[in-house]
Amino acid sequence: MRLGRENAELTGHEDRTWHLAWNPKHPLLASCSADKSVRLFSYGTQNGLLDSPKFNPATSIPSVHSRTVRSVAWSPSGKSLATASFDSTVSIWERSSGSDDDGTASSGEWECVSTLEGHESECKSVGYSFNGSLLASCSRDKSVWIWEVQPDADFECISVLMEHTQDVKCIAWHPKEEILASASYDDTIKLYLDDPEDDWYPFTTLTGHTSTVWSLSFSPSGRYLASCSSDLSIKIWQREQAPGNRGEKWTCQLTIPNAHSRAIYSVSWTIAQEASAGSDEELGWLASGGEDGRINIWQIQAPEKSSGSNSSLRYSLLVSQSSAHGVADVNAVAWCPRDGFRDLLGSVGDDGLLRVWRIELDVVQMGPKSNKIVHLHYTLRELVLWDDL
Amino acid sequence: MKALVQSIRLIVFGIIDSLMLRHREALKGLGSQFVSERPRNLIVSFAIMRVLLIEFNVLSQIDNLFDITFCYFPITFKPPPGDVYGVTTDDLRDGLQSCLNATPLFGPLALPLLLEKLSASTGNLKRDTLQTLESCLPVYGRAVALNYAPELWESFKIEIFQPADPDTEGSALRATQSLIRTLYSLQDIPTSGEIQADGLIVDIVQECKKILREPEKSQAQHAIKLLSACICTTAPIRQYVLSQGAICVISGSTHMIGLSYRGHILAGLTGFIMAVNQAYKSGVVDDVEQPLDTFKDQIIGAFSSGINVASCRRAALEGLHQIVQIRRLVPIAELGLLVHIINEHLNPKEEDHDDLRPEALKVVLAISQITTKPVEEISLPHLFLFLPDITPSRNALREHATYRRALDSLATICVQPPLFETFVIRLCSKLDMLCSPMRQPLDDEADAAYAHAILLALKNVLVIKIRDAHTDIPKYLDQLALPLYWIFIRAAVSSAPPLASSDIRVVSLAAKIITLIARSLPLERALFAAYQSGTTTPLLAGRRLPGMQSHSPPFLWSLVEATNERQSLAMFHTISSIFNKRLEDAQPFLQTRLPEFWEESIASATVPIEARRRALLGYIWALLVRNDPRVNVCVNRLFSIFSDPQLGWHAAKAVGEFGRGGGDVLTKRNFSVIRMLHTQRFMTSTLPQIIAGCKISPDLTEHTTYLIALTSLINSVPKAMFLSELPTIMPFLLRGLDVPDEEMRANIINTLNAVAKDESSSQVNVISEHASTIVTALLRNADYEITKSSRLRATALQCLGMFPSIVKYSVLHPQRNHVISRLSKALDDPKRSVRKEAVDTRSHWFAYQG
Amino acid sequence: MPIPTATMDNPNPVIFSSKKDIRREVRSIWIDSSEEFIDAAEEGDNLPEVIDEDEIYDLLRSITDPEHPSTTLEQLGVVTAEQIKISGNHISVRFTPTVPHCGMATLIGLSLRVRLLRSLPARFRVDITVKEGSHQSESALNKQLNDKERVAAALENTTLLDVVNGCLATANLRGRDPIDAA
Repeated sequence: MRLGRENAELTGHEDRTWHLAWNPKHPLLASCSADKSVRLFSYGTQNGLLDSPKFNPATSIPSVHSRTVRSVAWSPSGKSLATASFDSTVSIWERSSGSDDDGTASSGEWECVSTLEGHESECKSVGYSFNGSLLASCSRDKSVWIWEVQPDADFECISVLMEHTQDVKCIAWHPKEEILASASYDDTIKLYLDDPEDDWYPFTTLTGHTSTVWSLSFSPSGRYLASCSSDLSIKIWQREQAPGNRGEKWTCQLTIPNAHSRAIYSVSWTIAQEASAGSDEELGWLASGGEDGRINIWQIQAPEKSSGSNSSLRYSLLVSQSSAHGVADVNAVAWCPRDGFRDLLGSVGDDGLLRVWRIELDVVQMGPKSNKIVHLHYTLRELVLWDDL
Repeated sequence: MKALVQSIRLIVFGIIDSLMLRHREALKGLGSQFVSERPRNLIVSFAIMRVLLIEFNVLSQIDNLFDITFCYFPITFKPPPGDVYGVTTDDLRDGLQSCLNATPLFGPLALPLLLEKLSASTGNLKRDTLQTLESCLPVYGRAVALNYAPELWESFKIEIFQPADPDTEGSALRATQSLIRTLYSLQDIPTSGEIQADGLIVDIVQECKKILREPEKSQAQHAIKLLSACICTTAPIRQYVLSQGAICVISGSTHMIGLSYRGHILAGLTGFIMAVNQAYKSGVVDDVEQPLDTFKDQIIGAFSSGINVASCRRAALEGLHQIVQIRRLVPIAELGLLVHIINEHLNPKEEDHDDLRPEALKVVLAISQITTKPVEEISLPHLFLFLPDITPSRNALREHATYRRALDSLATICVQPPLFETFVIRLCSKLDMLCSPMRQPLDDEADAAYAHAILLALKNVLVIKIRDAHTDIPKYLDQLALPLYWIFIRAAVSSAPPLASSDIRVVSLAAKIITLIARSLPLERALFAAYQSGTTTPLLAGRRLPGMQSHSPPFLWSLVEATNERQSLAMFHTISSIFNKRLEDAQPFLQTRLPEFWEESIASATVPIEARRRALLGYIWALLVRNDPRVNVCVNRLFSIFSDPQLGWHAAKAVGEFGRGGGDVLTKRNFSVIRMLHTQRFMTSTLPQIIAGCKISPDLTEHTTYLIALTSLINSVPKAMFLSELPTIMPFLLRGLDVPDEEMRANIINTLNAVAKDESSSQVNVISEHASTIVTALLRNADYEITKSSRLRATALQCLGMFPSIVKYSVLHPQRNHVISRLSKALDDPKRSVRKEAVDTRSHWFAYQG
Repeated sequence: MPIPTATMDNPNPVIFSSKKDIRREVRSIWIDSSEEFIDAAEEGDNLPEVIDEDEIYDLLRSITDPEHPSTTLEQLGVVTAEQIKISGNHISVRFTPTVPHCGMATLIGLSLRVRLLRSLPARFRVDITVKEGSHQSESALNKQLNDKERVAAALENTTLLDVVNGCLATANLRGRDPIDAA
């Protein structure tokens, strides 16, 4: 299996690209870089499908940040973009008037509408809760901050969680509830809930990784959480008890050891596509990328029904694309969350590039005609990011 | 001044006084601006001030004079790029220093302030302060130095024991030396063995001794440097430091139970001996003084036993190398003993000795400069044993490595005349054997490689002897050149010469040796040798031309038939060297034969192109003969074939060849008559013609031909000859950086390198103007997928690496990141030498900041 | 600027003699290194000479210690050729801090990392670690030096970057004496 590459290369950032985010509503994609800028790319759509496999640079935001922009996140409405920077701030960007709902029009400029200060050192990750009412950020100062999103681009810090003993590398919100997860250089993952009577509190600590946990991704259903680490493994954690109460427990259901040959920097979870989708067993696809320059796509499935209740999740490697960014590290991977475009995967790397891939299914028949073996063979095909290069 | 009458003196005084006053006012008004705007004036006023301070009685005005002088300290002026006045920071610094050290009266005023500056400054300013102290202390004198000695020493100490960089460390050591000289200038050399001292030097030695108790630590190295610096001051101090310091170190070596730090102890000892050597060299030790006499036996004992311990062998050898060089210290008999000891570590079979072999050989070489006898009797026989009579087979790499080591070692130590003589005799007989037509070699190629190694060893020693201007070289015309000549003649006339005497590598090396010897001969013998080699070279090239005469025209034609480049080149060299010396023979040749040759062999389209090309090369070499007006006519013929699609390119390159005036063949050393003016005149007449040619339409092939002629020409002449034309030719050079011809690109980059290296030249600005274009072109030239020659890639990178230091950041900063990222490809160049340049260049660009 | 003795972790470290020329294996019976035969053909052959441990060592040996700006890591025994290993595109560099409580170890490691980042092709992955048992916070140090995000953030700190650049200023000497080189 391989990731096929058509023609696409985008000479985008002038320095290492750290992170990317798909706009959940509009055909827009954002990437951020050590060159302190954020870039936006658009793609054409028709009848809810990709118009042509072409992505075009829409605009570059010469950001207000004075250092590396480490992470980007869209609000669920697709109207706001949050950026986290090594300069210890988070900025919120919105389009000035003149933009239409489509989001692709070039009329409105992206403007910084708010800057959230408070962290003491490099801010490393930022994200909106499922309904967009909360924003979380984390930093090397070991803290996670939760902000309430108020009208008129106003943000109020409602909680500062100092639970980790080292840098917090990443935060992730649950897709359907107000549950927050954070991953740290201290090798642990922590999950937080809001106590309506009191403050946000950490209700559990997930231990098991033996080195820095770099990235987290909830499954689309919200029942699972994937994590990846410098210990070369990916772990899948499962929610054990009824949600929402203090006794809620998450346990490790699956470890994929040596999922990459060097540190794994990013995971992203999506629902499965095409042939394999729809079955009860199907938990979806997990993309991972890391220092070894590979992008791997893992199929995660529920335990076989025939076997006992204690049996664990199953996984198989669907695609392994080596040299996804030439000789460079892959810093982040992200599936497109929009219906009709869920087969699109974006990746960014130390080469400064953003790449967009589409996972495609090839059916390969082998053996003599009378005795056919049909292989379902997935490939990642890279899409053209712009055509005038 | 005293010669003038009182009244005139007063007037002069008044003028200077008023000048000074006005100067001071101007100074107060302008402050540091004055310095940056009028550095030339400042230089003049420093000079006036110095005269004033030395010649006049300035006692009553001393405070004022000091104030207006010292306010310039330290000099922070930096000349603007491309400064036309050429006043440098150093000029100003020297000027100011010459004022500050003009009078002892400044001492009490300057020292407290300099001390203050010393603790408050860093980098260049700190070094400047230290250097100023160094030059001022002797002038200020003992009394004032004594007052400030403890504070000065405390300040110097920091720079010596925690040095920020080697330069500052050196300045601090020199300032300390100056202080010690000043403090102890009045002391006599002690007559008795007991050395008395007091004051600062006692403190210094005590402090160092304490540190030397841990000889393996970094502080010990600083202590040794400091004591070494003291050794280089005055005789009494030297005696005191050596008796205290050396005793401390030697007692360390005998009392140390573990051996682990012995190497460090020996290295420390070596440091002292080096300092004594240094003192001898700088002339501060007189003939009477024998500073190391008392410690000699102990020191040699420590070193010679150290040789037997692996961990301190290097230190011991380095120590011996130093001590045998001390004048009249080690007796001849003991030197023989040392040669014996070292011999055990010179076994060519032992790969393990490779690490320290150069050190061991250095000691033997140093001994051979004092006496050759022990080396001849002990080292040589030992090493000759490892030159086999039967050549090992080509697969026996280990055995080949063994004799190579023996040859290498011999070549290192057989430099002195008696040793070289033995060396030549022994090696010639080996060669004679290898090259004998009667020989039935077991392995032809192995024999040839062995012969080559022998010749290389001979050549390497010759090169060293020539460098050191040894007077025994001429006798090797008979003892080496002729035997070699006959060895190869004999082979050449035999029906089946052995490979050892016909392999091109072996033969050209032999030819080189003959040339080296011929070069070193007095003129009358050289002429003879030139004829010899005149006949030798074609022979070596595989052609026998019986009865050939130097000016015989068929000879020129014969080269058209030559079968390979090396052969024809050898012949061109011969023709040129011969004609050059025998001009009268060449007259008819130049007048009639050469034009004929042009028509028949070059201009004629019926001749095969290969032959025409060769003939053209020959033509050029023939032209190089001499400064003769007819030559210019012939050169101009070259331009007439520039449009020839097949020959134009070669004709263009030939122009450069001509500019070089014969390269390394027709040099003075080969007794050819070459005049710089000749090249200059050629440039003046040819360059405008070539530049005009470059201006024609780039679509025409001739355009490129002219570009080639231009680049090839300027690459072969000293840069002063074209520097003024640089602005005109730069655009052509830039165009040339993109042509496929790599030789041409190399020529251009070499030229750029030469211009860029001379930072003071105003023509650096021409590079600045085109910086962006050049950088882009250099990056392409450094790309291993575009450029085949690794040397060109390396040169391009080197050139690129100079830009950060010659072009202002504001000009190139938009390209900085791009250059850095493009260079990452060169970091993966297949060739190590190119990668090294890429790393260096890239680090210069990383450091390139506004 | 010299660091005051009182605050130095190791004001007086042990000095090691530097490794001299790097030996290369005899491959042919011909002494082909002599200048006579480097002609155009060889110059253009481009037969790959792979990057080996010695080449990496050459890159690192003349980096200086932040605490002793005139002393190289080679002289301090902090890096040695034996502690460098290459396999394919993976390089492992181990270094030995002069004392187990050496507070400069992070800076030294960072200097090594930056030197290799700047000098090696991007295809290489480099692990930099302290020698086992040579430092009291060994694992913390190792983790920090190999966390690319922390390294990247550190290099955006200009004060830190100045110190690192200072340590690298002499790196191009590759074991040569600064005086000889000049």
